[in-house]
Amino acid sequence: MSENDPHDAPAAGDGAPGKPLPQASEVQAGEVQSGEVDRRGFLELAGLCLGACAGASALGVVGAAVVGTPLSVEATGQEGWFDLGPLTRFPDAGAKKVPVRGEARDAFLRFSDRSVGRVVVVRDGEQVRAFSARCPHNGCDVYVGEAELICPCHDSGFDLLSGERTRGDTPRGLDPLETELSEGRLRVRYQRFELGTSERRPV
Amino acid sequence: MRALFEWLEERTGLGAGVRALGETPVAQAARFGRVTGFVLAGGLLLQLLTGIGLAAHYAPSTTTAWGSVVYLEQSVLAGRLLRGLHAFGASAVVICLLVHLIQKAWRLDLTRRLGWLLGLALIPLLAGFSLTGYLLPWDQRGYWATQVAASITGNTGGDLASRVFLGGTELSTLTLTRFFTAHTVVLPLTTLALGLLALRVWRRESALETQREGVHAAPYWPRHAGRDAGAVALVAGVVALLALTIGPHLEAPADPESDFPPRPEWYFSPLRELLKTAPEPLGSAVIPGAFFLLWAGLPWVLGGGGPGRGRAVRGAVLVSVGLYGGLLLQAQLADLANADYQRRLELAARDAELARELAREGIPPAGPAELLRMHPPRLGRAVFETHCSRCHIAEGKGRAAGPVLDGYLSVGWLRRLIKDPRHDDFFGKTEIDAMPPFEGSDEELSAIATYVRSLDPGVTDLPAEEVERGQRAYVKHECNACHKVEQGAEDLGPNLFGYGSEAWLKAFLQNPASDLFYSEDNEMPAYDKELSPEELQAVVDFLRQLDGDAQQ
Repeated sequence: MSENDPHDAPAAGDGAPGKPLPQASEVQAGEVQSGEVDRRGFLELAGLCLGACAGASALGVVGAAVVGTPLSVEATGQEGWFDLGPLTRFPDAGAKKVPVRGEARDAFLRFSDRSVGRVVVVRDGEQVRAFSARCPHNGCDVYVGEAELICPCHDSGFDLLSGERTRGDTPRGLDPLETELSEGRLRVRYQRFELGTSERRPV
Repeated sequence: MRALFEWLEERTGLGAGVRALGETPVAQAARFGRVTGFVLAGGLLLQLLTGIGLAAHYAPSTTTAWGSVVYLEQSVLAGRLLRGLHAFGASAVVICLLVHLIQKAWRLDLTRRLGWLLGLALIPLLAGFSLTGYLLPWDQRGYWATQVAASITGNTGGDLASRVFLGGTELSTLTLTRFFTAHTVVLPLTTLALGLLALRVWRRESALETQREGVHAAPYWPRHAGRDAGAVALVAGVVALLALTIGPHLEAPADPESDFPPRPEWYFSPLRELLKTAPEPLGSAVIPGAFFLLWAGLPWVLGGGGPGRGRAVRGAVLVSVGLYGGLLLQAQLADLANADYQRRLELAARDAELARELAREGIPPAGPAELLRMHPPRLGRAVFETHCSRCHIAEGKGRAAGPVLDGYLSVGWLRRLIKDPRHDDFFGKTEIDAMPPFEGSDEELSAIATYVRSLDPGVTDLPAEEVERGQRAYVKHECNACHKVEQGAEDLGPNLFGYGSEAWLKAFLQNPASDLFYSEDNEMPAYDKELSPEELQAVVDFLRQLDGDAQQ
């Protein structure tokens, strides 16, 4: 710092002989000068602290909104029993992908009939199975190919009947879902599972 | 005017600052190597400009984003050009940055260490711009690619990272608003701050450099500035050309119910290839991070110089560029060779075009995905696929447990039905066998088919004499013994009043077991509760257009 820089002047003299004398009104009779310096130093420090607190609070409020909210919200509307219609809607042998629709929220928007998820229903005569269509690798939806179920994102393949992995990067086979037949109608319990793990963990 | 400038100058000193910037002594005569940095800065400024134009028309929510982008392209003056400039400009900026960094490292021009680090910091910043910008149109590509990106984030950094990334537990409007904020506020401000810092570093280090002996220096303005501005204009020209000829890309609106083969932006495709062989976190964080650190450390690797160290730096550059380029090539070739992927892209392109066309009528409040879903021909086909195809074939798809419906209601289809109702294409696989095969002449058969077709009041182009002949034959062959043609008259076979009309089809589909139709012989489910009015209408429309000439 150069000595003739005017910006340096106030800071340059702390406790130094060049320090300008305090105004008479600020000096109480009998007080020593060093006490005055302490008080001024304290006020400066307090000011800085207050400023820093204000800044940190502002950051904290923004952080709470932007980071805190997504961390604290609960996953909603992605689990439960859904009606897939009469069983006759599904071919006797083979796989069919159908949407699971229901009431759904999207932040502040409410939809009475929206895709909650997609399900692959596999029928082999009387045996009915359902898988979540969500590829356990990166969460894209598989489609029903000619010989297997295929994920269009990274070409993972799954067995048409068992949902087991046949090729690709997926760490596990398709996630099976509970099904239920009542009065000829097929119901499925849709739920989501953690992606990218070989172990199957519900979200 | 001059007075105003002086007034401002007195209070801000800005002019002097700018002048000082222009007077910065710059070593070397015009050299290509020094241009790329300024082209990069110019490109970023152009992105800022076009971005303002885009943001002014953008509405970040899942129901409005796609529509606002289509509106921009279709109805805003120069909107499509604006979007094209921004899209191709993004690629240009990335190329500029890569070329800038590669040529600097290759020429061992690494003495300005802070400047080098600031340049490198642009890599994650541009990646952030690209990642967030990709989603904003809320089209199929952005939606599914972000789905993958969120999953990679989750697999790398855990559930918390994925939640912060998405603004919740799944892709939603909150993801859009957060990506929009990052793309238009946080990232631009950060980039601007880095840019100003880089400018300061450039000025200071240029001055230091030119103080060395034997360096020919010239002020930045006007010679170097002219060269740089020219280069920026050149790149901007190429971008404008691409924007005008190829135009921006927009897929159909995001729809989780419809398949799409997503791919990341081209400069991310090496990372996608890498992830195929090295799963998270190795391929998503460790390897890219290691390369990033390697490049950040290049000035220190080079140190004071020396041939060995120079070779090491160039070796690192070659390895990195080779790996990146190799993976890039591999990714493109793999997609080109993937016939299934190409076919799906074509289907998606068709969807996109139809959706854009339908969007001209406005986007429904439930969102743009409804455009395609509720488009009657599509909805009708979807309803048929879901509800009818298990027993009926149409457009070659389905199973023939009941009548094949290709050519349904056409005179030809009716001829074949009347001639042999127990044929496997009609009721052969059902319990219905009360109707005998037709035993009259071919002319009578055609006439009866024509007459039955004429019962649909919507069909008016049939020859009147033929219809009349058919009506006589209908009575002569006692068709009316079972099939009444008077409204509401019940008998053994289905009532044919208004046969094939919308009203007849709707009544039939809602209750085929009614005494007006198949009565106790019926095997077909009723669709009075299964279908919404829109779905019923759509499937009726679908059935009524199956009588195409080709199928007769």
